[in-house]
Amino acid sequence: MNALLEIKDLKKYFKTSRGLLHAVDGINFAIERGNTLGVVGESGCGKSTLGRLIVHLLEPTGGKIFFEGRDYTNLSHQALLESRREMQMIFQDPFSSLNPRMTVKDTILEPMSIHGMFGGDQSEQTRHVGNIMDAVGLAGNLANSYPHELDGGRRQRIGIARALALEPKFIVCDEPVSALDVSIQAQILNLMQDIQSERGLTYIFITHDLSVVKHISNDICVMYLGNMVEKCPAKEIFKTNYHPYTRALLSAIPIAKTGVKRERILLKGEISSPIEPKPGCRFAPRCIDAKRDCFETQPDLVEISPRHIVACHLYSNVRAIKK
Amino acid sequence: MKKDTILEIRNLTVDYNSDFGTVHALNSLTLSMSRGESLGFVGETGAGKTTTALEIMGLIPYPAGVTKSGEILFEGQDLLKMGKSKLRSIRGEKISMIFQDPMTSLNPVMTVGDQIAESFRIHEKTGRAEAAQKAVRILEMVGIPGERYGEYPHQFSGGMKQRVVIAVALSCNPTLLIADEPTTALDVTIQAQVLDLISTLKKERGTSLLLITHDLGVVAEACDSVAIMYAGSVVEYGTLDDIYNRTSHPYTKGLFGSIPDIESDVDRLKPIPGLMPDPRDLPSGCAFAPRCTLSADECTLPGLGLVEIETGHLVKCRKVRA
Amino acid sequence: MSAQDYKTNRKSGFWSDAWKRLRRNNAAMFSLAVLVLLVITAIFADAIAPYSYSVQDYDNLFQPPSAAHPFGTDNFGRDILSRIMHGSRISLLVGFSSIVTAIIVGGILGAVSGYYGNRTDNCIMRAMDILMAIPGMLLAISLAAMLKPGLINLVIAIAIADVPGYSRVVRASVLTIKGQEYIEAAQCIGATDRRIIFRHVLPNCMAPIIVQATLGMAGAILSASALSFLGLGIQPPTPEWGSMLASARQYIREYWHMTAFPGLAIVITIFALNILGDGLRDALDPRLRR
Repeated sequence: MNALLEIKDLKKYFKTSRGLLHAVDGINFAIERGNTLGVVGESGCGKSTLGRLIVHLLEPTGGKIFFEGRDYTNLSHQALLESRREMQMIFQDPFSSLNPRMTVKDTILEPMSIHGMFGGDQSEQTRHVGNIMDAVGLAGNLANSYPHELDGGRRQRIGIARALALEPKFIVCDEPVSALDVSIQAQILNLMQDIQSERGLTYIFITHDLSVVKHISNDICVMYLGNMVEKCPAKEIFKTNYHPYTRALLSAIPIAKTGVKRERILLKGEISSPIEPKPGCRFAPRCIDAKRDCFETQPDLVEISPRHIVACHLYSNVRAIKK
Repeated sequence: MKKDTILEIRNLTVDYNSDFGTVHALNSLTLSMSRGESLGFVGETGAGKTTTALEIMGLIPYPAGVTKSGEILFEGQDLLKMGKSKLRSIRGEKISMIFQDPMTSLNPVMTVGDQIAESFRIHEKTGRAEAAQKAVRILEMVGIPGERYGEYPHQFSGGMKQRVVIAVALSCNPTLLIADEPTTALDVTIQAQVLDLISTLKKERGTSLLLITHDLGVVAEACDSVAIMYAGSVVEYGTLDDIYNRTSHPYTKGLFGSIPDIESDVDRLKPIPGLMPDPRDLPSGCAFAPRCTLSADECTLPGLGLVEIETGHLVKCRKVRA
Repeated sequence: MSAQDYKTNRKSGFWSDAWKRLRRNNAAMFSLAVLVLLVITAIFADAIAPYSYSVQDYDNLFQPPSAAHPFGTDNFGRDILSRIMHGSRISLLVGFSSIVTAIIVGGILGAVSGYYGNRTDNCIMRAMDILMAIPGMLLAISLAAMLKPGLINLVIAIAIADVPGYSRVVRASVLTIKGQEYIEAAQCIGATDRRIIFRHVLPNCMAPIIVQATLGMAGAILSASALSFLGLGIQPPTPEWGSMLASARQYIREYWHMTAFPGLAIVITIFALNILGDGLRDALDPRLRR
């Protein structure tokens, strides 16, 4: 296995006036070079925090991040700057992720001038801006436009171009298509797939939309309140799924077809608070299959079939793989 | 036209005057809805979905929005020609609206119970105590315990707030409920709960529903018929079956091709090329022609209208014939 | 070029859009014209003023407005019009420089406070709260009394009283901007804090600062006049609108023109600045864009 990125027991707690908020609570996974890991979950599950931890926008409370086998957790100032060339991020909101006072060209150029790419040669850098704009499908005559003159789809292309400017190996995509209309969303998804295969990029694709994540990912990780509840190859998730939350999530997705009769698992209540969570399975209060065990101990991850792992007491008879 | 038509919009044209030219928001929009029907009103940003809803409610911002022509017949009466006070009594009593963002449509300094009771007191002229009783009943109907009558909106979660908004909208038993992206701000599992609630209540009370959304999945779950909007007018209209299984307009086909399907494995999506036309400068003839794979010279000619290609299935395209 | 590209061919930017909107606001444009006229008067006062501001003419004391002296003369026979023209220098200079000083100090304090947050924020903002707890005018009076009367000290007195206001405005907009994703994006590409503050944060909070500055300048001119009126600002014989009012005060019953014209000059300037400030707020408000 050629893991590009591996995270071990990654944790992030935030201090709030009502106690510690467990945003990300012990996540483990590895991503192979050239693959896409989809992270899916509802609001408040910690998926965005996870992405920000990986690109060092936030410092973890605990756990380790390994990139190409090297420990990337507590980087010095210089090492952090170097790491920016390896991993980049694409943001959700095409409106607020671009500085309204900077032109398209300036936005894409800025990372190159910060890192002094091409030995600081400005004309080389400008040429590179042209190449990248070309690669993401932005017409050259837009170079001097401001973001507010462009529509959401083009703005998101600028965000992608900025992430590509440093020629990273790895990109965290935080809901990159959620704010876009469906027809534009499809264009951007295709673009991201093209760029990935051309440049051999590795993605973490964070979203709340299971259909999108299944479309673009090799593996899917389902998160619930800071925990990973199930991880499996993307192609399996619709047919073979184990965790009651994954099932509820799947059954709740409206499908654009007529005559689809599905048994809908309506969850009780709403997501509970991630502040000072009670022991036991985080999903237990809403779970239709919850037993007494579920409220007392947190379930371990078990490997049900190759590469398919679940954290649920319903499957505790299967051999535990961790701890 | 259909027998028991509750809402009929004819040739509605609305412009917005902006700093950078006139925005043609609606371009002779024609639509009709029968009593008890759920109509899905589907389109992308800028297609004119919300403008249509605001027109029906008489809430178009003044003076930017200008209604150029057309009529909106509600139970046979033209809402656009109606006096202010009459319109106000129809709005709220017969037509209610649910907005996308539950946070902004509730008054933050009034308890949720009082907000519902207020609408009984205004429209049904009920006394304080009776209105409060009715409010508790309707709260329980949308799945909120009556004890929470005295709580303020910020004490509710997003899904619960949207339930309150639905309760307010349904408090006066409207004949027509307009829901503008009611579940877009909610998580999927909560969306499922709210959609179930809307369908159940609709069935119980026989309310007609105009569901505005960009999500073809939501429409498939909650509606009987569908109107697809593009650049300010309806390009395809029909029953759920017509639209989903006998998709005819190239734009509608493009929309379906853009959605990743969770049930099957498709490696590549087939998006619609290009972008929405600038609503200040719409192409002549068919507005979709510049993005359309079927477009031909005839598509730029004016005078394009909806054509019935089979019973009840209308399409606005010269390339599609019965 | 298709219809969709039309937007991008338009020469535009934030400032040119704002200017376009401002130009349609007649009241604001009129105020701007008045202010430009005032600035020109101030710059070329020596050349265009009909008399010297200090030459006393004991044959023409307390002259009412006439063709020779359109605004009349004062108790020393000096031409009031000329004195108002020269006085505009002091008023505009004090107004402008105290606001610029206040913006620079307040802006940096506010930006640092908002960007770093936590303890830094707490220290700076509590200090500002203490300053704010003292009425601005009282603070300026005590500062002006403590320092020696004079132009620079007047500017300092007024500027210090204005600093908390600006630091709050800047801090609030920095806090809003800090939550935007483009700040995270800048961190992601490795931008330093300094670069983020100066390239990404401050340019985006210029709009509220400009509005506040225009409105604040009116207040500063008023404060300068008030301090001079109290004898704590500009000293005679240098003409200043407030000190002109002060010296005319004792003759107000007999010679109305001595107080009326300097007073009118203050009112018109303040009024123009306020109208322009309101116009700028409308023109720069992003919610009104499009």
